[in-house]
Amino acid sequence: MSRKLKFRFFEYLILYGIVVFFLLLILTQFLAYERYQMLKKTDEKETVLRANWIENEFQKILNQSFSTTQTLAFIVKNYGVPKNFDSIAHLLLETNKNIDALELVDSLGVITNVYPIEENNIKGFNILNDTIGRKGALITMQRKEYFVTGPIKLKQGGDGLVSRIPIFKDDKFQGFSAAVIKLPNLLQAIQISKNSEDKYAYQLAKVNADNTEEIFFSTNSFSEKNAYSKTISMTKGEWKLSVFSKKKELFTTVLSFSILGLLLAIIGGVFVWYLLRQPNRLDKLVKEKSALLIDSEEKYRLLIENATDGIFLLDENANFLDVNIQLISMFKASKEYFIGKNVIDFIDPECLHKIPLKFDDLKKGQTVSSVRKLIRKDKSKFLAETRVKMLPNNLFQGILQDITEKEKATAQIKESEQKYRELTERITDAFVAFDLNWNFTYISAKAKEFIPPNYPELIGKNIWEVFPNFIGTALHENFYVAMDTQTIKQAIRYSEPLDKWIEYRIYPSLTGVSAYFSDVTAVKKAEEEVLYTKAKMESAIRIGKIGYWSWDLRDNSLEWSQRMYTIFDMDKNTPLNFESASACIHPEDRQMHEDLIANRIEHKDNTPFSFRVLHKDNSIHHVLVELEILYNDDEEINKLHGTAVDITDRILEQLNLKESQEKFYKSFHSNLAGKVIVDEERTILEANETVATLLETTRENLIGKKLIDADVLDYNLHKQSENRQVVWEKLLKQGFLRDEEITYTLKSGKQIPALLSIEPLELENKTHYLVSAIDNTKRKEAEEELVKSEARFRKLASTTPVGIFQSDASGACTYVNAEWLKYSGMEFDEAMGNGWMNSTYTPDRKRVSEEWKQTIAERKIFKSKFRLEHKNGKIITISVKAIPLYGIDDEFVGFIGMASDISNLILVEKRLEAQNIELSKTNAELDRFVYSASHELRAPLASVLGLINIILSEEKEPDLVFKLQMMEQSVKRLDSFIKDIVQYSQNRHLEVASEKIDFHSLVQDSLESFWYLENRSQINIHVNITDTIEFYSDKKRISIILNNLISNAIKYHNVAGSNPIININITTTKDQGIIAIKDNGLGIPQEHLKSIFKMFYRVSSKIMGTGIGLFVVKEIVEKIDGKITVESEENKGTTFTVILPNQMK
Amino acid sequence: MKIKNILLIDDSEIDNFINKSVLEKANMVENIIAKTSAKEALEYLSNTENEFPNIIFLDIRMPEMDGFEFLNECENFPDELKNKCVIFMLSSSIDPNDALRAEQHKVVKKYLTKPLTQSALENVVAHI
Repeated sequence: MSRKLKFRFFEYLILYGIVVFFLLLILTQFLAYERYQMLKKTDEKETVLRANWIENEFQKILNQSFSTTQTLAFIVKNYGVPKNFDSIAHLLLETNKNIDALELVDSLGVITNVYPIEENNIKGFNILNDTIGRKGALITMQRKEYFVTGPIKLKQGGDGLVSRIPIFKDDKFQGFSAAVIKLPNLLQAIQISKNSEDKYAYQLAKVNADNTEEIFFSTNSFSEKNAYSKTISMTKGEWKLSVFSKKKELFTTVLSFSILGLLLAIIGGVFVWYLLRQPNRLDKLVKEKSALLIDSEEKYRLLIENATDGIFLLDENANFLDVNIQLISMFKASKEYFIGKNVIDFIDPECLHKIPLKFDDLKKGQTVSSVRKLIRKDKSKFLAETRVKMLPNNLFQGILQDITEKEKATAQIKESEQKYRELTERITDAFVAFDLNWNFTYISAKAKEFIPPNYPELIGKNIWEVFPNFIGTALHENFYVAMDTQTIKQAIRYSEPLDKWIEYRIYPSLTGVSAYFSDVTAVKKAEEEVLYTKAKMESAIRIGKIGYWSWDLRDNSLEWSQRMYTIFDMDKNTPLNFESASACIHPEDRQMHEDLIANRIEHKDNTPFSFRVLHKDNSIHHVLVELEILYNDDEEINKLHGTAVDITDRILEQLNLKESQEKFYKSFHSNLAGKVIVDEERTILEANETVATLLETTRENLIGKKLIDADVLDYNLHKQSENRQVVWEKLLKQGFLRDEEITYTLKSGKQIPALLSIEPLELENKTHYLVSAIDNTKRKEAEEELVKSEARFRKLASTTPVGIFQSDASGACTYVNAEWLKYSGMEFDEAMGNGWMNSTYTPDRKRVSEEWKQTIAERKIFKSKFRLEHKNGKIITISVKAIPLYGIDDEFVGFIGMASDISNLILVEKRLEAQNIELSKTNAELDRFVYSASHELRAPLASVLGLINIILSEEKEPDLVFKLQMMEQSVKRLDSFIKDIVQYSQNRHLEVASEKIDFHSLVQDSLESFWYLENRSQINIHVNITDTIEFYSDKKRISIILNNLISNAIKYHNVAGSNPIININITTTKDQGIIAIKDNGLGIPQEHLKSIFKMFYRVSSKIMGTGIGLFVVKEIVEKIDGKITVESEENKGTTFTVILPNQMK
Repeated sequence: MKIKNILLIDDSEIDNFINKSVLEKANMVENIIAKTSAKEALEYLSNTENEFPNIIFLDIRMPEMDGFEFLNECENFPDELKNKCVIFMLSSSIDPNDALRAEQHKVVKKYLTKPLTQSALENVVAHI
């Protein structure tokens, strides 16, 4: 039972709430109390701290007053009342800012001195007679020490503290020194004001002798009660200051905390009670709902039973579980008829086949609606709409509605709508209606096409507001005119936003306006198209010079356009018919033309054909005819018409084209250069045999492929393909290529250096390229050889002891060898270009520069001598010779030159020159000497000879005459010898001269000079000179030659022989002069012939000879580059032949 | 016809003797005057306007004034005198330069080498 009781107790759920409330209340209130205690302590602590601080500050001020009064007292005591009290007081107040005034009081209590007097004019006031001041003064006198009176009402006004020091001299009261501190100043100093927002409140009170307190100051917000306070009192004063904590919030915080705790407790209690109460509430709710359910189930059943629609319930296999009365009546059956049967049995099989049951959708929880043809019990069928859904208990509930009637009505509506639609759609025009306020009332579907798609709904809106751009247009005006005049308006306008031509018709009525509009763009465009085409055709006919003709077969009448007359070159006045037209056709083509026409007619063929027309000027023109065959209604041909064009130019062009193509073909295929045509993709379109041979393949292999695909080149060498790419890019960039060097490596490994030229070829509107490749192997080899030889040259040049340099075509230096650098002291790079010029010696530079410039300009041989200044300052003279250099193709490439240091040579030359001068001087002297000597030698001989001659002319004594004659011979021989020696000497040292030789006079002189020779008169001398060609040589030497040979011929002649003759034959030619002196004298024995030209050789002793004459002759002949020969036969004669060169050339 | 006056100029007395002998032997001269220096000869010529020689035989190498200097001086004589007179160089010099120099003087008729012989004289006179 007790358990039960307990259980019952716990049933009072409110008790749980109350317990929880109290527990929480106790807990929170305790916490609030604790908090209060803590805050209170803190407050007290702070108040004491504040009081202490104020006390401290107070003390400081009092100390000031003490020190000032003390000082003043000391002065008065020791020195009497100072005369300059004001300045002293001023000084004291300056240092003690909190003191307001200083006073001196004499022994009678009268104030004698006050500073500052302005605010404290109490001089002469007796404090001992004053009721307020007297008390404090007396206390001070009694105490005989520093004392602070106050706060008191000050005589000068306001409240204040007066601190005094009594002055005693010999125990006799002398007066006071006093300092006044005014209350407001004091409070300010300790930072207290009446309206303080401070945390504290203050109270200053005077303690009277009877222990009553007189309050002098208290802060406004002062509330003494319950506030914590701290009182400060001064031993040397009669006042006290209380500091009160003003912390009202302390209490309010704690109170609010406590209230909060109470609320919390209440909420906690209620919450617990509510929680515990929930199950009971649910239980109650279930009961209520159950009752409701039962109620609604009843209502539901009633609903189902009374529903106008059939309702059914199916199990998961679609077998009927239940049906309502309505359903039963729909099917004209009983409930039993349904129960347990499958739903399929009630559906028309055809319908079921068309729309299968959607069990899957149902099971997914969807509601399935369908219209089905169902079968009644009497097998009649009806249309019903079903809505089936799955119930939570996995059964299916469905509602079924007989829609036969509804369907019928729908069909009718549909039909009428269809009719309406057909009707409206038959009207292709868009239709819009407006009310009298221009608001849209109707817009047909078609009309919507004319409204830009982003427009909002227009119905009910004002057209002019929606389409403001219409305002001011003809459309706008027409609308108003139509409305005002109630007449139909019609027009066409172009709509720019739609890009359409729109035809509109406005029908006004009294209730509004209807507008029909249609898109006539197509019509408009077609119209324009027709006009345009017509114009185009006309211009085409005009430009194309096309003639039009029409030939009616029925009456053989021919009509044609003006152009036809020109094409056929027919007089316009000639009657026109088939025959007269045919007469213009070239006689050779006339028959063919006739046949062709017949053929076309026969086969109803309209293939164009051409024939020749013979113009009056005998020129032949080709005419192309296009024709069209016209039939009558019976499909019989009755008319031909068409065009004719003079295509002569076209044919000529074609011929020319063909010819040039042939030419191109020939030049392409029989070209020594490899030729290839490639398209833009570098596919080879055509290639000639040369290129095939060059690439060691066949044309067939190349054509139609890219070079890479023809598999003739070794592409392993990456660099080559890269080069080709570079070449191709260069081609694309500049449009053509000229003599581009490229090396192909064949599969066989053979390298073909080629010169590639590419130019674009516009063929069939495509850009192709004509590639010409020339095998450059030989040239390349030559170039390599050149490089090699260049290298050899450089090597040679670098070691040669001659300066060598090269320049390019512009004259800029490109190479100098080591020797050259040695001359100038330059580095190789310094000498390059025009740098070498800097090494020329400054005075010579301008000349050298000009000479060099001229040489370059004329490309002639450069020859110069100039000085170079070595970097070390040494100057040398060089002789330079440079010759123009030509390359492989005979192109001028520059100069190559040599320079040699001729400084030494010049020195030698100079020395030589000096020596020459010296020598020629010596020669002249020698010459003079020889002649002088010979003269001196000959003079006595001549005298002797003269004397001998005289004696001989006088003396007849034979013995003496004989001796004199011998003497004469000896002297003559000596004389001859001297002459020979002189000639020899002259020949040796005299320069060879060159002057015109007059052989006639020379021979004459010579013959004359030998008149004295004894044989002379007995010899016939024949002189035969042929010197029409001018002959140049050394006259003196020739004279000596002639003299010697002629004198010999005379002297050694055989005058005893018959008819002694000397033949002198001289002939000159361009090249030489031939002197032949022939005698028929003694002749020279064969054994002597070899030696006759030797010095001192004498053939015969018979005749006085020196043995030097022929020697001298030979010497002279050789000196002037001649030749002397001798032919001789003893006793027959001798011939001397001298051949001398003609120095004229 | 005899030649009227002949002047011989030679520093050598011997040669003058020889030449005089040859001339005398030829017997074709009326009057022969010999001078041993060119200066003397010039003095003589300047004083003998009437007896101006028809022929002068002139040596080249002589002390004080040589034959060429004498020729130069002769150029100063008036033309009518010069035209009457011919000069023959008579020297033992075989220097062709001497002969060339002599030929440059119009008044010099011929260059002869010593010794003067009978045949040479005849040859010369034939030229006049």
